[in-house]
Amino acid sequence: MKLEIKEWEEIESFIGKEVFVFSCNSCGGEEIDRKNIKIKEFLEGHGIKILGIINLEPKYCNINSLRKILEENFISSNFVLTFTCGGLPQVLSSLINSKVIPAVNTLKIELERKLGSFARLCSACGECWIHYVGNLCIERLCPKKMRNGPCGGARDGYCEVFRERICPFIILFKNKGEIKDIIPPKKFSKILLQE
Amino acid sequence: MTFKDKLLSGNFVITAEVTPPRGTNLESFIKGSLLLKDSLDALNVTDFQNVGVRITSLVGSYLLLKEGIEPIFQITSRDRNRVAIQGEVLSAYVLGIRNVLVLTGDYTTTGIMKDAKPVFDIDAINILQFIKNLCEGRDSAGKKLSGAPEFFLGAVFNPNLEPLDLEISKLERKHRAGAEFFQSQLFYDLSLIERTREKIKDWEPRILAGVTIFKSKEMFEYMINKVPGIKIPKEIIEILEKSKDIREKSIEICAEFCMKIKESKLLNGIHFLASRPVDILEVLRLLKWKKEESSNVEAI
Repeated sequence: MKLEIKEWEEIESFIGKEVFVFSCNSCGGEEIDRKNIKIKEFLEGHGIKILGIINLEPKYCNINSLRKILEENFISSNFVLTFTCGGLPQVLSSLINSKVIPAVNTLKIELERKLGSFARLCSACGECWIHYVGNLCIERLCPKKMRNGPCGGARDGYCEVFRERICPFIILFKNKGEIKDIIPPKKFSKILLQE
Repeated sequence: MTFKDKLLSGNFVITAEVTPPRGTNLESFIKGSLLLKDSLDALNVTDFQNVGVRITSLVGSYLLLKEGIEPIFQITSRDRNRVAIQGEVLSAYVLGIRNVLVLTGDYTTTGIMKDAKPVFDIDAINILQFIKNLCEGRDSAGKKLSGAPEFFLGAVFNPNLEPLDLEISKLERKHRAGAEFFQSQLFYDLSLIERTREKIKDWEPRILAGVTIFKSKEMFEYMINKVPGIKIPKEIIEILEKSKDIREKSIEICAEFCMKIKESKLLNGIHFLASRPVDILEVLRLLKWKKEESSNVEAI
């Protein structure tokens, strides 16, 4: 799995001065101690205090183990930053009350490696934007990959393409209310340039 | 007066969509459009409607312009990426096209050519932003244009979407992105527009109400079952199903609703969706509406 830390400007407006961090070994793609040093340098360099780090090994990257880990090791914090693929922040946001923000973009998931189970939820789209849309992965849930709200084709809230699936923007609206910002188009060069 | 001038000066305008031909024979497209020329303010040219191969909306719009009819050029992102969309609207401008209606587009599998790869590089709001940028002299890569276009930009509004507030918030963002007029999906409940107007306080969206005339039972069933985003109330379905002549009844219902729309003062015009020109003329004949002023678009 290939991850890149996001530009600070993108994360900055979403968090406060103290964060709790989730890290992992990128499904075997990175050496975790080295990765965590980079994370610390990145956050402390921007004056952010790390309240704690949980390293989620691939064998614990599943819902039951995560629940247990949260009970035992998680320190409640308003903001959680994940330096994992986009799967974990989708799951975490339904388990804890903190604002969960992905701090990295997932550029590539290699299938030959042993993957944690949350990796299946990540589209590896190169530009994770779930924090703009209530931690729902629109890349995965919307056939048209709409950035700025529903396409208008939904009937009684159900997708025009998959008629038994509720439109993710309707779920988002019911959970979080209105989306006010206009999200710019995706930068496809991020994934197109991956080998 | 152009479509833009009429709408911005508060006239009640009438538009209809026309579909470019499937094939090279232009006769029925031109004939049908010419039938509407003197009664309507502008004609929307659909963009590969129902995911079917046709003459493009750009060429269709140009053909209308040649006949002295003012076109509203529709563009979607289903079949074109951001490069093609920006190139296409620049081309439209040099051909004399001034109105653009931006849509995301129906999904490929909901239409005819189901096996085609859907593009959806950018959504309708992002398309609007890109066209607005072109009008300000730059493309989306930041390259400076030699000569910038000027468009009257429109977008679609679906009052049937629930929750309505979500669609209203999208309407507002479309406006912020550059849309100056809206054409709605087919709907039958004026209270939805009333709610929309109540919710939007600081500006007044110009919305044309989408109406249609069901020419046959097949078309009626198709619209109910297959066309995304359409919701027809049970009462209307029952009346139409019971009627001996669905077209005749549909013309009557449409004319009544158009009258209500105009009297309500909630909308800025009517937009006929998927209706045959002869049926549109029949509705207008029943309404005894005359175009307020003839369009001064010259045939080119």
